[in-house]
Amino acid sequence: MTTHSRRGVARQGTGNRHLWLALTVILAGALAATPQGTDAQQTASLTGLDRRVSHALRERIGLVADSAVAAGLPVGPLIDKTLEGASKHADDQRILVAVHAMLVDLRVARRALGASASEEELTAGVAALRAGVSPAALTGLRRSLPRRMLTVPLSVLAALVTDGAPTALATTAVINNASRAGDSDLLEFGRTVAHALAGGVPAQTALTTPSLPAGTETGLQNTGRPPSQAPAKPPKP
Amino acid sequence: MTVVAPVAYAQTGVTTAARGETHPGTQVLSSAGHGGALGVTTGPLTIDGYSTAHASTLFSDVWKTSESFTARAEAGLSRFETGHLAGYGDIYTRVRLASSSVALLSWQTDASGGVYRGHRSSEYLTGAFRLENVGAGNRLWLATGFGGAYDASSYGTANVTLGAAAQQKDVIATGAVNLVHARSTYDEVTGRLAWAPDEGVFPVRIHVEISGGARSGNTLGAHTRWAAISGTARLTGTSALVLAHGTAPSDPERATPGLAYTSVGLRLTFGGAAARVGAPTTSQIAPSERVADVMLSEVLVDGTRTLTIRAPARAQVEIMADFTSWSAVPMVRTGADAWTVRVLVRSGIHRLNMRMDGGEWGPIPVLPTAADGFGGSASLLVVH
Repeated sequence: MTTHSRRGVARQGTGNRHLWLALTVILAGALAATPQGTDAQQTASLTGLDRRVSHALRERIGLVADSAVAAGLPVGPLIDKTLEGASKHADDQRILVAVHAMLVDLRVARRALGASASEEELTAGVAALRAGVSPAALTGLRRSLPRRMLTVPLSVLAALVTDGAPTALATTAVINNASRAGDSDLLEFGRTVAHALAGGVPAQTALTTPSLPAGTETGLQNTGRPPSQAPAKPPKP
Repeated sequence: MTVVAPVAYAQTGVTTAARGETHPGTQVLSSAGHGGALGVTTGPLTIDGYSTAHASTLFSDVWKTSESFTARAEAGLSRFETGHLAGYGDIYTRVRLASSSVALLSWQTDASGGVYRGHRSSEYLTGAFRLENVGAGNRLWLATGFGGAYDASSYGTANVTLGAAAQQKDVIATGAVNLVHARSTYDEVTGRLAWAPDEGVFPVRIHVEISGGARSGNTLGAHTRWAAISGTARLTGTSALVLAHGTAPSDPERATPGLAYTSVGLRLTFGGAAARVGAPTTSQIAPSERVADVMLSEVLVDGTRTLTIRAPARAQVEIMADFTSWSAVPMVRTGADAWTVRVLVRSGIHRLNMRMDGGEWGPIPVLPTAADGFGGSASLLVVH
């Protein structure tokens, strides 16, 4: 034991060096996980278009992306829309129009949700706007849930309205449920309402009846409505 | 690629599942995007028969996932003190690169190194490669590793591991057989049962693991049989309490000693999605003439999720979505009409299309559908 004790004392210096080494590794790892700058992301995103679209379209998309960056808007949704168009063999002009429309909607969503809205929130906000939710309703959602990340509430709202729920009723229902339930419960609420709507339950009843208790989350997200039930209304053009 | 844990790992009580052994559903930390965790544990420790009055561990890991790869770096150190022993017990680092692709066959490569300083001195450096076959709720993997260690003298190490994991509801059983050469040749059999009940069963989300193993052949050091139990309770979205008790064998590949431990720890995560202690479960699915259902699992250990579509295709189902960069991705048949694919998908609303047997691309009927701006439509998938 005495030998062990002497060895331990003798190794204190070595131990200190190892301590600093380990802390350096930990800090370096943490820094490596820090998000890259917006410019770097934009460049990387545009590079992803190289083999997917024509050089001319890439240049035009780059200009739109510059506008987005200048306005403090994310580039990701623009690149995503470009890739979607390319995969669906849309012509360059149509893709450009769709990307411009996305930029416009991102601006509206950001104005409605506030300057601090994340890319995910803006994307969900655009989906809600395109489903027919008004910018004022988005602002109302933000004011009602000022400290909450709105990605899931907005996504559920967009899906509900797309499925045929009246905008005002759906917005109120989402706010009410989001104020007392977590994202998983809110998602379950949206699914339950979608099932009810597809089954012919009146929207008023469907949106006010199911109010799920907290903690009903399961390990697997069932994301759709029953297969035998058709959508309540056709998709909006 | 043995599951023998260095001192710091064993003390965390999270065991190998949480630090990257890819078993479906046992993951507690990873998420899409990037993030990290920092934790501390403390408790009494017995190393090769020497009891410490106090041992503490600081550990950290960071990860970053993309559509193609998952990268992960871990580091940690332990310190223990008694009247007889004083110094650092274990310092380790590990870097992992793994495919996070949608392929049925995934790969993973590791490099790790560490230093043990205590009643004796040792060092190690190892590298490992693993191929894993991913099925619906089960996995099979083959791994091999090589390295070197120093403990009074230098020697080379090598191992081969064959492992499998199967899931039934919220319980996952894992077993592995390891053949190891490190100064001598021996074999090990290890097993683990992990239970992660759904949210709502208990006031907080918990994850419990029971693990053990046995070694035969020309073994070295203490604990040729070992067992441990650990529990993780998620206190908030970013913090978890970790309790652990058990024994761990000596590890000739890393020249670390056998130990017995009891520890309590706190683990904090940052970045990415909130820490989850959950397991994907099977679900009753209604039959249908066409697409019957769409389901998405919890986040798996590599940050991906399993997307399942019930569709009566004869030979092929493909999807393309914003989370595949709108590239067509084939799904794998995992049942009579069940098709799955592993995807990296963040919380929010996503748009996707699918096609069966090389037919036309279109929306998935059971999901809400919106115009795509190109004369067609896309389905909306909401993810939390």
